[in-house]
Amino acid sequence: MAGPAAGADLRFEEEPGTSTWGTLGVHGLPAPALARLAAMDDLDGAAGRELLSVHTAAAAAELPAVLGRWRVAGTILRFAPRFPFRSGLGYRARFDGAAFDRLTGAAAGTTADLELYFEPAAEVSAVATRVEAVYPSADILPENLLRLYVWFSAPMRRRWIPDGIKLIDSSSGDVVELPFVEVPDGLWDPLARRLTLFFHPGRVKRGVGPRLALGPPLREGRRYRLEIDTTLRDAHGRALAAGHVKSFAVGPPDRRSPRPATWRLAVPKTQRDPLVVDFPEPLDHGLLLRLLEVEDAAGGRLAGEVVISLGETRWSFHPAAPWQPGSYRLRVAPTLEDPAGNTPERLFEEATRSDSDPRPPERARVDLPFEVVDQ
Amino acid sequence: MKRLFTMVALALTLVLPAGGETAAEMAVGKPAIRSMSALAFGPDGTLFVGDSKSGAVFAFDVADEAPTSWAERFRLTDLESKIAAALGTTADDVLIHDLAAHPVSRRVYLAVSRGGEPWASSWNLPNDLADATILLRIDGDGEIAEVALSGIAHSRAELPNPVDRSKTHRWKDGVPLRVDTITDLAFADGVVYVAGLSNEEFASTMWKVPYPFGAGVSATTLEIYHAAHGAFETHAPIRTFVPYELAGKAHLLAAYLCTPFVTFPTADLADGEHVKGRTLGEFGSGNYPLDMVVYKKDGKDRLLIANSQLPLMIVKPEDIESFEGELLEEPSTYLAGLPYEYRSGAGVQQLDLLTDGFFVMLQRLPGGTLDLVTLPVQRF
Repeated sequence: MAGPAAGADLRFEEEPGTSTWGTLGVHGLPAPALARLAAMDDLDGAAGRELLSVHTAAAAAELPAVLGRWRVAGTILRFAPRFPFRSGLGYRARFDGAAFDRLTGAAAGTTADLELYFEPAAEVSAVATRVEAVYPSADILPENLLRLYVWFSAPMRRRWIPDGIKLIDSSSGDVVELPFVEVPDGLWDPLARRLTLFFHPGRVKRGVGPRLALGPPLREGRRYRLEIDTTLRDAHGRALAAGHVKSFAVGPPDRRSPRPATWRLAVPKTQRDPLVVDFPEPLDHGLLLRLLEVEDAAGGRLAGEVVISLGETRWSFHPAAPWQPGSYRLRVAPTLEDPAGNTPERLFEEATRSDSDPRPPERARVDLPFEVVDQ
Repeated sequence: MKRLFTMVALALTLVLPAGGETAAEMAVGKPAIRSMSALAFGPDGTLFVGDSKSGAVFAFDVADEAPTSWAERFRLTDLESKIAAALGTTADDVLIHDLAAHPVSRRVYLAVSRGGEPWASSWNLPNDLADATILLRIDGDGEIAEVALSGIAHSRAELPNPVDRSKTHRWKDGVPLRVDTITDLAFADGVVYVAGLSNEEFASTMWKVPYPFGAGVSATTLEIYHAAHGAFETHAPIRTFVPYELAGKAHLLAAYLCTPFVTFPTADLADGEHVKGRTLGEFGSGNYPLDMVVYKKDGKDRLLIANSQLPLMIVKPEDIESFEGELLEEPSTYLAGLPYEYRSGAGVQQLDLLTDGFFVMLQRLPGGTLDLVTLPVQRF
């Protein structure tokens, strides 16, 4: 015997930051009927699935329901998802009144169906994500600049949102059309904290079709603004806390190879000093992070921390273990580039190796030897 | 005093294996598994799970004996959307890391992650992008269920000296080598063979883990001549392999990135040894061999290989047995050695033998969706 269920009510009870992000509860069901449900073996199974189902709103009817657990908690029939509801995504929940009547022995038609559409909101407590840095950090960049790196303070959703990032010619106020290679999901690092904006090489390289048709993306003597707006989403689906603008002037093109022979090495004087390398021109920030290595005399690669400073003209290596007296070398990969894509071996505009060759480059590296002497 | 220390140490050594999770007996409870990097079943339905992040192999009793039945030409369309719906998310938020078919129940097991890490490069594998922490199984009706790990019977074996967490991949930007601690595993004759990377100078390693777990794990470093690269290689791990008997002797048949095909006599894989494989074929550059399965057609064994960038390939064991010598010179193209046949089947990302008569595959279709399909072995 079930009482009237006119007051029954289906609610999404949001609990941001928990392992479910919230649960669904049917309130106002008659207590004797709930007691019968609670005693059923398959409430957390076939019966639960029939009574209270949740689907992603985008899902077509034949797609599976959201996995989860069903239980009676006090006066509430509750569904908790196995994996957290996602903020920003829509869900449809449905309580089947007819199934409830049948399972609890009530007369058919006693209990009405209930439906609810809900969207978990964004987490409010955590610190919002913002742009931390844009590289190259200099205010004057070469006309043939190849890449910009945008670092975010937290992992981002890997979506390419072309409208969220604009390059604007400050002198005219015009948006530069198609300056970057368009990659569907963007060029992200594995942690999705660094976005690489790759200027369209066909517009940077002289004498090729896209440049002849559209011109270079940057022109010497003008000023530009890279504008990142808040429509970009972080990994939780939240908008950025604030937009970010990087303003820069454009200088002459850089068509000279970086020359490791001109670098200044400040050799550590104590066991704890970093190795400091100064370059006469800025080098590519992303490649500096991984294409310089320190090796000991036996050829073992030293573990340590790299700091890039002074507008990407200084690379400092803080070894994890104190230096031991002996011979070391700084190994420079031949693929290290300056911001215009020139390497020690080759200018960006020279012919490149075949794209179909999957092997990492195996050309000779440049070695810069140094000694750490006993104090 | 020294003698006392020795005795204490000895006592500890004797006590430990009986106590912790390394014991042969399975414990019931939640296993401390951190990444389901590779799956393989033993013939009785024990599920072996390679955990690269922990540097360990788990054995699960998935308690799944009642067989499910599959339609002969079964197709579950857009599997990622269906899994996503069950996980309460969208298809671009789901990655499938590995697939294995239960040899008794015939259910299909998947290691899955939820976290929005779509492939950004053709060189990336799912394990490069995320850690699979969700185990799902699919029955012949296409029903998707989670295999709850909270109360599963399991045992665990540690791999000695897995590759260090701080090492990064040479040319996959920011990918830690640790994700390749375990690239594939297979059970044969009481041993779980585990391919991957150790922290040795020659990183490519094959561990032999006796099962039931408890006895010592052996580690052998591997070297191959990668003819298409004209170089000896010790740093790249095996991507997929199968145990197989050649001319009455147990071997491992293995394939690597850029697709050298190599054989190793199992008897050579002794602890602490460095073993050079015999390169018999070069099957194409720029390609990950993803899965390798032995099947029988018209009474004869055949090998089917699924690839990241190339179609399905069939290799005949009799061609392996009759192949003389090994590849020791760089070919002018990327192809050399052992003959093989192509079969249509581009975009097959996961492959296993479902029954003696059928394969199960996950295939990426031109429209971008991933379908689960069963196909008769007679077609191959």
